[in-house]
Amino acid sequence: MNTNPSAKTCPKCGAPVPPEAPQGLCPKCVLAGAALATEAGLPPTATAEIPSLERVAAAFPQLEILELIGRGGMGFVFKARQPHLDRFVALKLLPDKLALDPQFTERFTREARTLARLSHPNIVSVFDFGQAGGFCYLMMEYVDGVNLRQAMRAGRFSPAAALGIVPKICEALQFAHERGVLHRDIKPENILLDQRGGVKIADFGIAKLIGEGHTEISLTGTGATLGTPHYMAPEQLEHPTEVDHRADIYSLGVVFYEMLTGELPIGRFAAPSEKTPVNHHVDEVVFRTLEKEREKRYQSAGEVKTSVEGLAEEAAAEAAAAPSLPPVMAPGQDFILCNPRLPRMAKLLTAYAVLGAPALFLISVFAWLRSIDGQTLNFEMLVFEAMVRVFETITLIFLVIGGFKLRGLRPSGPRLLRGTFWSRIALLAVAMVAGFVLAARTGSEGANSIGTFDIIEVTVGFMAMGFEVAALVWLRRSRAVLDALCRQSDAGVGPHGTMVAQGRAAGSAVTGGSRFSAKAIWGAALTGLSLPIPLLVVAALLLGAGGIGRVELALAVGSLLLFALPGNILGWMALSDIRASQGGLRGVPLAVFAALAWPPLVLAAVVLGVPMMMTFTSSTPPSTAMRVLGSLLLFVIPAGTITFIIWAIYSTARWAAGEQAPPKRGVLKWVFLALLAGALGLIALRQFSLSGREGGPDRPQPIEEFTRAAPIAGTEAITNFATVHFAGTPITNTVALHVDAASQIRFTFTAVDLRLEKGQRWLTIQYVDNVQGNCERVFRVDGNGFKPTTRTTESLSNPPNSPPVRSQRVEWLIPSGVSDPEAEAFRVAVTKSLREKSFIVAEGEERPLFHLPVGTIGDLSVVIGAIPKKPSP
Amino acid sequence: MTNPHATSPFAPTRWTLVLRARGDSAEAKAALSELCEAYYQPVMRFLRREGREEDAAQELAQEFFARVLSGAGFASADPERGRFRSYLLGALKHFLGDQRERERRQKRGGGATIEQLESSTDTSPGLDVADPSALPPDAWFDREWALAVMDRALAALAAEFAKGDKAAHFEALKPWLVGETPALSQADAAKSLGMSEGAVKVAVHRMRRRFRELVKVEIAQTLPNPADVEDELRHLVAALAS
Repeated sequence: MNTNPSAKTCPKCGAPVPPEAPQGLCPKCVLAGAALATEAGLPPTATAEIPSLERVAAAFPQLEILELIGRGGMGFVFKARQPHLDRFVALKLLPDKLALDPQFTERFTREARTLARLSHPNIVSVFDFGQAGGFCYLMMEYVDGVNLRQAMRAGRFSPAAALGIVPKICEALQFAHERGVLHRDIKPENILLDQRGGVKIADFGIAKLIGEGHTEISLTGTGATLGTPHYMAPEQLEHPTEVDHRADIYSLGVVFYEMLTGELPIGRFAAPSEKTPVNHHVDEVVFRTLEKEREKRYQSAGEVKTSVEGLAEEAAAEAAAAPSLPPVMAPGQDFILCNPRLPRMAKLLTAYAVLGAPALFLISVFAWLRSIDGQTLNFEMLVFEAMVRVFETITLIFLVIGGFKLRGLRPSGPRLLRGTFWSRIALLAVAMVAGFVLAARTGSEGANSIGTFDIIEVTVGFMAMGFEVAALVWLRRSRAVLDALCRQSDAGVGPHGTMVAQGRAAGSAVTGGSRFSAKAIWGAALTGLSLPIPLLVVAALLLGAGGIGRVELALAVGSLLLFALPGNILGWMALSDIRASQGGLRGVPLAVFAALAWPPLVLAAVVLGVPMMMTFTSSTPPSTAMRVLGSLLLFVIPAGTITFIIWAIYSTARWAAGEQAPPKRGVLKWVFLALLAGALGLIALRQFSLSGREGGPDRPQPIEEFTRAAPIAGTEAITNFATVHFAGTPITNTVALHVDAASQIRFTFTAVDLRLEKGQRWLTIQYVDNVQGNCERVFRVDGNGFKPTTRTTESLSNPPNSPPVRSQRVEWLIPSGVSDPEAEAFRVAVTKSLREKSFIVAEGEERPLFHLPVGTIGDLSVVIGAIPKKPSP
Repeated sequence: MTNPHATSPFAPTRWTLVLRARGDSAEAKAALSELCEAYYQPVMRFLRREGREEDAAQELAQEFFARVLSGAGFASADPERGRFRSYLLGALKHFLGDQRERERRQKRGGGATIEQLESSTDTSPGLDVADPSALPPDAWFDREWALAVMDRALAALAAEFAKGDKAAHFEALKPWLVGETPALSQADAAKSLGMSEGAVKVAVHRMRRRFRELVKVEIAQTLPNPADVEDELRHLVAALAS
């Protein structure tokens, strides 16, 4: 026994070492140290139970215990009253089970001593501490108010309020830091707001003297976590032993950010100015407190205070000088169409992109649908035109998005607009060239008269194109100005914004040092390979172009299995990799393409294709209700589907880039509404023009009037087109409806077929003619070498609401001496000679139709003519 | 008394040996005397705490232990949870109660068997401590017990260091047994021992680990079931903290 006679204090707990202590060591600490290894079990609070009011009251006879007002990792807080001083106090108790634990009592004692040392108006003061009735207690100043968490839950903080609170927190922190005390657990729960607007920091419970760093691990044990992860500085999580006062500054930054935006700055978080009306100087301050490397942060709480106060003054000055200066705008909040900070041309651009271009597009689509009713179109032309419209729709959507982005001063806005304008102009050029080539090759008549409407449309179209070219030039020339303007409002790429990389906008800047995801490349390549064949097959199937056999099906299924499936899987793997790499991998667009090329296509095929097929294949003429329903199916559902697909692609890309959920900008809503408005507008126009025909159907009509009076809206034209082609071997003629005069007949041949009926082969020619007027058609048939048998079958269709045309057919019996291959050759020859044939026969006129050999037995020549109608009795 | 832990799978501790044999076998007797020797100090202090002079307390302690070892007080004690500490405290209280009874009888002119005791109590100023409620609290005994455990573990540790010719090391390093604090400079210790700071760190770590083991070994000897070591250690830590 080696007792130390001199009065000595324990270097650890500071208590005097009793003289009888063995080896002169503090017995409490020594045995506690021996017990330490056995203590690492459940986190201490897991076993905490709330002590009853009666128990607490019994332990503190000198206090009136009023209520439990809080509980945290360190214990329970009761509101109590000291009768003799007539004041309220907050009584903090350690859970009674833990009062037995020396580790806890030690931490508790330390908290009390640390806190008692700090006397500051913004720090909750400690009146007393000790042990009573099995409790360790801490008697503190009672703050009559709420904590910041409760305040934030009750309502969003105005930026001004946040700017008012932060300096007070800074003062308290600066005061504590100067005394070598860190808080280490700054979070909204620990910041109390009293009713007079005062701010007080509570719970310096885990604060420790600088230099005690190495005791961290042994003091907190292995199971107990110090601090609250979301508010902890990166180095506090990674190297808890090397924390200094700058960790508190980081936590303060998190609280500041949360006060401004209501969100935690996790991942690639947005700049505060994107979420709330503050200027970019606030962003700079917030980002500097949130720097991952503490060397880049503010180096003292005092500095933060100075900056924030500067911001507050700035804000006040701005508010005072509001009439002379443009106000700080939150995008999309304080103006209707254009951001007032934009130059005039940019405003025009926004208006054009958001309103003008969609309107022009709708007009052009309407005009196109109207024009194909009166035009002879072939399959290639129709597919080509449809593709042009689809691409145009896509560029239009990007144009609208770009317009909204420019309006919101997003840096990606000008870029997106530039790209879109380029592609629109390129598309137009390609479309014009291809259109000419196709028209020349197919030799379409091009005899359609050009109406005033067409002239206006073309004029407006050219003006729009001129504007787009000018816009492109302007965007290129004023690129620097625009970029600067947008970057200002997007502090994420500001000087301190390295960690808030705006992946969405500045993808290339962020991922500069990263490499491409190989999976994304392979996935995109496979998906690209898998697309053409199935799409062609489906298009052929939809349009009835024929030619789908086993080989094609095998090819389609094979490319789906061999390319699409692995491509898709690779795409999703790439997305996951890119997200996990947090900026280490590039190739989000490729990965999104690989992952999302097929699912939307399948969706579109199911959602759009099935109703279309049903519409096309139904034999009964559609009622008005059916037609409206069909139009809905053909317009509303596509609008919704396209909107959904855009959303899916956009949000997948954001997800892969590891960004937060997309902010509600409402662009999708506008896309959907625009698509819907276009659809409804078309339906309305169509109904209007149909009802305008009610005049006098029997009256002979001049060309122009008749054409105008009997347009078929796009849906029906397409329907007709498809029906015609499903009915037989296509001749690739569409139905033409022009009739030049009452004394003329216009024939349009639509299909040629071989029919087997009761062992006899009939060559069937299907055609459409007008039934108005005073003429009847007549076929003059001459069998050169055999006697042809002619029969005219019933009118195939003349639906009540359709224009005054009908589809009919005429048939010739093929003699038995002709072999099957010969008959087929004959059919092919007839089909060839009738391809694209559509002509007008005036009264008394005759036109040769064809003169062809039928096998080896002779020729068949057919002449078509019009004779006056027999007057009906 | 019965031993509920007779089927314990653990190796017998001294106290289990004692309990198993009810203090009768030679082996048990040896174990018990070892235990009594080890925890002489707390008993002694407890008696002193009652206000006795050193000599008087020593005599009383000797008589008490003689009684315990003879097995006389053994059957009469009612050890709580069967721990040696509890047993000893119970026995001590019982012994003191008997003692007072005798004193009272003596005052009334009772038997002459207590002469030596009477003489010792005559010289002590604490004669008036006859009221059982004035006994020092059990926690006080436990505190002394904890000190004894610590002392024995420390002594064992020091002996181990001395065996390896490292007595100086022990003297230099033992302050860290309280834990790590900035008030203790490992650099200084390193300098005085001629070791590197890293080596000191390792040595301190090893020393603390060994100390922990020794404390547990020490405590286990007093328990009927060695698995209760943690529980007992916590109890002792709490006793020290109060």
